[in-house]
Formats: sequence, structure tokens, C-alpha cells
Amino acid sequence: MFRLWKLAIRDLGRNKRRSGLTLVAVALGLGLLVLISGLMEGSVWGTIENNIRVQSGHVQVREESYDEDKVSLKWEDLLDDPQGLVAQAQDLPEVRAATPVLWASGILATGDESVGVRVFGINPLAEMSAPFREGLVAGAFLAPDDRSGVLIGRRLAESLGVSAGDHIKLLVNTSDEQPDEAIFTIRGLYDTGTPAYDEITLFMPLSKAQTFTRAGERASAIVILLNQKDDADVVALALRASGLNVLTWYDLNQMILQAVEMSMGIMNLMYLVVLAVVAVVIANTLLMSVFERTREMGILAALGMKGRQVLTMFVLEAGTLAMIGVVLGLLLGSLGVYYLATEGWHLGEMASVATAEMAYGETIYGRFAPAEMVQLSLASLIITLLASLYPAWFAARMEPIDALRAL
Amino acid sequence: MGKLLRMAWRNVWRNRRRTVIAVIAISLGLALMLFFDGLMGGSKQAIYGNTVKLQGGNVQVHAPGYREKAKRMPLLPLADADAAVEAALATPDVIAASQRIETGGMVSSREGTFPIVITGIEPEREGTVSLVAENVVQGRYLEPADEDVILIGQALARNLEVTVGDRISLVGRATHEQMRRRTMTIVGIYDIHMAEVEKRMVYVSLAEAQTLFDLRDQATEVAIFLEHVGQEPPVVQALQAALPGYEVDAWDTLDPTTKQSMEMEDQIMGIFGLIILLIAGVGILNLMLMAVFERTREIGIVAAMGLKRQEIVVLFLLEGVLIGLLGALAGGAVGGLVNAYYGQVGLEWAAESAEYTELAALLGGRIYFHVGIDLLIQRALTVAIIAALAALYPAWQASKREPAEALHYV
Repeated sequence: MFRLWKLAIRDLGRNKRRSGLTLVAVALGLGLLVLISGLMEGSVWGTIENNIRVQSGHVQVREESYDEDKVSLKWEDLLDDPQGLVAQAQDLPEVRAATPVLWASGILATGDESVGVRVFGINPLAEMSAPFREGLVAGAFLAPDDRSGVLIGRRLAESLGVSAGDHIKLLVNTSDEQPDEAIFTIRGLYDTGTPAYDEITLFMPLSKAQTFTRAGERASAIVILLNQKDDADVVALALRASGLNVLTWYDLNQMILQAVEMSMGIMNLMYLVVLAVVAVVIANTLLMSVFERTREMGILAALGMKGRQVLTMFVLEAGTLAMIGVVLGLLLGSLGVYYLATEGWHLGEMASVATAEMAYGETIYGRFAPAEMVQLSLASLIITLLASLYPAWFAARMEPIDALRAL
Repeated sequence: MGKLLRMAWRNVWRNRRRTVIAVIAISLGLALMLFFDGLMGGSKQAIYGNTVKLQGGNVQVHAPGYREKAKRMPLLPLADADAAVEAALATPDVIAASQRIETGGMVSSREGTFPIVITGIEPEREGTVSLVAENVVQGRYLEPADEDVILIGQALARNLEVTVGDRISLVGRATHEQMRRRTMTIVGIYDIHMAEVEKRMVYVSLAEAQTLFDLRDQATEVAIFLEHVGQEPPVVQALQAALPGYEVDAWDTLDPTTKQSMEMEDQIMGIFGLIILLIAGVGILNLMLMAVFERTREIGIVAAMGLKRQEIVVLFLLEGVLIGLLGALAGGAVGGLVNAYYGQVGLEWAAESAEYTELAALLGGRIYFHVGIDLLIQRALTVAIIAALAALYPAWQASKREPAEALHYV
């Protein structure tokens, strides 16, 4: 076996250009797959982390009957004692911050336009409102006791043609059946870098939101931020109590995670196409080299090498090529992912979008996906070996005499 | 030249086995590439085609002043909507055109109040191209003569806790910014597995919307549906010329977000395709190099027989071109057939899944491949050119040798 391997390696070295080009094909293929998997991984986790930061938090505590879709404000769907729950959460060492929030749905009307919005009631001093504070692009941030001020997204303000200081009319659903309406002043505009979110979210101090919607001291949920994302389950377990629904970031981002799972189906198809192209290249190279070395095969056979050994030798050749190719491919792909992870993919450079649309200037960062890298490497190896079987079998089947006479 | 071409052709078939391997490799590479292109093209058509359908057509005609306020759905009636529909239907590639009225509003039941977009449609014109019409799960789709009835989405029905036959009250913004309240019976519920859309979009008949919003015999929008996403520019151009004084827009100018995500995907897929081409190219290069170097001796012989250096290079280049063209033809044929097949039958890309997501809903269970003939030709030519160029280098190398030396090369 070892002797065959030595033969195989010597054969590879004998035609350096051929081996080199085959290596390039394997390495390019695997490198591409690693790069794509890194880009996918990065954009998925980037989205989830962004979502945790601006809206979902790591853990949420809600009343069991609370239905997120309905944005219900009925007293029985709200948490009766948010402060108690906040205190309980803050006692846990894993918790960085916990804050009550109140959600309501409403219609925002300016002089002659109106648009549906989601009212996000939160204490402006809470850590969860940091994205709004840091993302403030015009006007001033809210004070916790502001009774008439709100913040809206810059993009929403632009499309409505309003700016900081303007008055708007806001109609919201309340704990009673009747919606209520009031006039507010836009204190400032924010941009969290998540356009879809900014366009529909109106930020209001929690206490005002509570009185406006007649929710009293109640809250829709407690949003908890952790020091470590992985502690979510521990914290959720500690806060679990009857009548309460404790959700982790994993539950809260189900939509994204499911979307990823679905798109894996298509991704796998693409991976297969790339690997198939690589397989064709390998099979061809080996087949050509078998023909080129027909005489040599004959000599080997005449010297007593068995068909099985010839076959093994060719598979070993392919295996060696594949292993070096895989290593090179991993290197190549990792370099690409590393670049994406540090520099990012700037969507802001996309054509046709003015600089005002910098919200799209968001960057997708790549991220290593070790499990996928291992899977893809193994797949490349196996496919290369499979592709070498036919040429190897072809070589092993030759009659020594015929082979010697060839050419 | 004619003599060289004849020689090249004869050479191609002299070593049948080598030629066959080269042609198979080139055509397999090309066919796989076309498979990839078709897969991507098909999923792009499905995703964006359906998005476009939901958003009111590939091309939309509005009254002047709409563009500026597009996000707020202003009720700006078209001067002559019928003429706009006529003009649209007379334009090539248009498969349907219909009048619409679109405005924002609220819907409420005892369970709560939700913001919605109310769209008045012409069911008889839109029914054939509407994703919503295909996915009515309870009750029925709208009919032209419908009065006082409304079609809503599954997710909204769940939130409102209502079903077909129940009455819900609708508040919509009419012209002059007055709010109009009206109670309507739910005639049907559609389920397209996209909760966000289902929660937002409700449909009434155009006649109903006209009475509700004080727009007697008028419409605010003409929605125009095309066979494929990407055919918009000529249609927009033709219509703008035919309808001066109207705003004619392709969906992508009205919805830059979706356009962005499509462009980004195109960019990623472009890079993907390029690298696949590169891999296949390396394979072809390798093959041609081997095939020509193998024949160094032969080159020595023809050189000894008096063939000039340039002639040798041209001879081998011609051989490369011939093999490349053969491979491109075969690969183009195979790839074209595969695409035609999956374009008709569709490729099942994921096992039946209980949980639907937005992407899955837009794609449907099967991907129907789509690849433009221009892309097919472009790919085939690229492959043929790579093959030809790959033959050039070794031929040039070999032609530089002294005939005697080349003869001794093993």
C-alpha cells in the first residue's frame, strides 16, 4: 500500500502542470463553497444579532395569552407586575439589562397623509433603547417624563415629509375597545440601520405609552439582554412561572432561522453543481493520463502488478490530489471569509442608490462556519475519489500485451 | 487556410477517443453551468415574479404627482384609466392589465384594529395572473359584480378571529382625506403563506372601492403584468410614449428595496457563475494542454515536412476551435434540453415541508428553470473560446522547437 502510494506521488510529480491545474480546479471549487457558506452564515447571524439588538432582546417574558400578531392591549393579555419581573430578572448574574416594554399599533397622520405604525413604548434610559439613542440623526432624544414627544425613523419622516419639531396625529388601539387619538411632537429622528424596522416603528416613553393606551402600570413584555447569548436557556428556565410565556432569542427569531433552513435546499443544489464541475475536471484529467500512460500500465502489468493494485494506485493519486486540493481550497476560502469578516460586503456601493439611502450602506460581514467547512471538505474528497474510479478501473482492466502495443 | 482547416478537421477525427473525451468534458461543464444558470434564473423569476404580482404588476401607470407620494398611497384618479388599459394591452409582452384603486385604512373587529392596504381590483382582468386568486382557501375570489363583500388574508382573519360570512368594519381614506367607515361581509380568505402580506392586503371589487372612496368610474392605478421579470424597460418606454401626461413606472423604481435585494443576489450569483466558469475553464485548459503536448512528435513530423511555424500554430488553434465548438454545441444542446425539461416540469427543491416561510411561499414547491437564449449563447461561446485559447499555448511551444528535437520528444 505504502509502495503504491509512493508510486502515486511520483506520478503526480512527473507531470507538474497537469497536477497543478487539477489542484487549482479542486481548490477553486472548495474555496468558492467555503466562501459562500461563510457569507450565508455571516448574513444570517448578522440579521439575528441586529434583530436582537433593536427589537427582540435575548429573552422575553410575556403573559401566556399575549398574541404578538394582535398587539393586544387588553389587561388580561398584559403583565400585571412588570417591575417585579424586572427585579427578578436583574437578580440573575447572566442578565445585563431588563426592561418593560409596551407595544401598540396605530396610525400616524400628518396634515394630509397617514401611515400604519407600531408604537414601541420603552423607558428612554433603558439599555434596550440604545440603538435609538445611538442612531439619532436629527433633533433630540426623549426624556423619560416627556408626555408629548415621540421619535420616528428618518426614512418614515422623509416619506411623510416631516422633520423634527413637527406635530403629528397618532391614533392607537387601547386597552378599551375604542381607539384613541392625540397630537404629538416629533422630538427627533433615528436610524438603526434596519430600514424595514425603522419605517414602521414609533418610539415613545413607556409611561406616556401606558397612560395613552390606558394600560396602567402594565407592560406587553419584559425584554432582557444578556451578557452571553448562550445563557438564554438558563435565564429562561429561571424565570419560568405559571401564566408566563418565556421566549428566548431563538424562539423570537424563528422566522429567520426557518428561512435559512429553507434556503439550504437551494444552496445544496448549488453546491452539488460546483462539485459536479470539479468531478468532471478530475475524471477527465485522470482519464487522459490513463491513456497517455497506457504503455506504462502494460509494463507495470507485465512486471506482475495486479489489476487491483493498478486501480488502488490511481485512486491514491486522485486521493492525494484531492487532499492537497482540499487544503488549498480551505485556505483560499478562509482567506475570502476572513476578508469578508473584517472588511465586510458593502451594500452601499450598489448602483443607483443615492447617498441619502445610507441605511443600505449596511455591511454584511462574513463568518466562519466550521461545521459546513468540514462537510464541504469531505464532500469534495469523496466526489474526487468517486470521479477517479472509472479511469482507475479502465486502467486496471487493460491487458498487458495490448497495453504494451498501444501507441 | 482551407487546407489547414481540412487538416484540422481530419486531425480532430483521427484520434476519436481523445476528441470524444474532450468534447464530453467541455459539454458536461457547459451543461452544468447552464443547469446552474437555469436554476438561478428560475428561482429569481419565481421570487421576484410573485413579489411583483403581489405589489401590483411589473409596470404601473399613475396620475401625475403619484411618484412623489408613492409610499403614502395618495388617491389620485387617472384621467382616463380605460385608455391606459387599452394602451397597455396593445403593447407586446403584456399579459394582463387592470384598473385598481389603492388606499390605506384600518380594519376592526371585536378583537382589535389593524392597519391595512385596501385594494379595489377588477377580478375578471386580474384573476388569471393573481397569486391571491390562486390561493383562496375559504369562500371564493371576488367577482366583478360584488358589492359589500371583501377578501382578506388568512393571518388577518386569525387576528380578527373572523371567518367567511362574518362582518368586519373597514375604515378607509377617501379622496380629500375624509375617512370612510363601512361594514362588509367576508366573502373569501386567501392563504399565500406570507403572514406579513396576508395581514396587510385586503381586496374589494373596483366598483365597491369607487363608491366607497367617491371615485365614480375612476381608478388610481393601472397594473400591468408581464410574462417575465426583466422585460419592463421596453414596455415602460412604449407606454410612456403612448400615454403622455401619466407616470409610467416599472416596479423596481417604485420598490427600491426589492430591487436592491435582487441586485445583490444578481451580484452574488454573478460571482458564483464566474467561478464555476473558471473551474470548468481550468479543466478544459488542462485537457487541451495534455492533448496537444501529447502530439509534440507529430508536430515535429509536420514541421519536417515543411509546414511553417505560423501554419502549425493556426492548425492547432483551428483544432481547438473545432473541438471547442463541438463541445459548445453538444453542451448547449444538453443544457438547453435540461433547462427546457425543468422549465416545463419544474425541479422539486425541498421535501414537502410543514412549515412555510416567505421564501418557500414565493418559490412554490418546484423551481421552473429559466435561462435566456442570449445567456446560453454567451456561455457556449466563452467555453469554445477557452478551448481554442488552451490549444494555442502548447501549439506555439511545440512550433518553436527544432523539427529534429520535436521528433525525439517522447
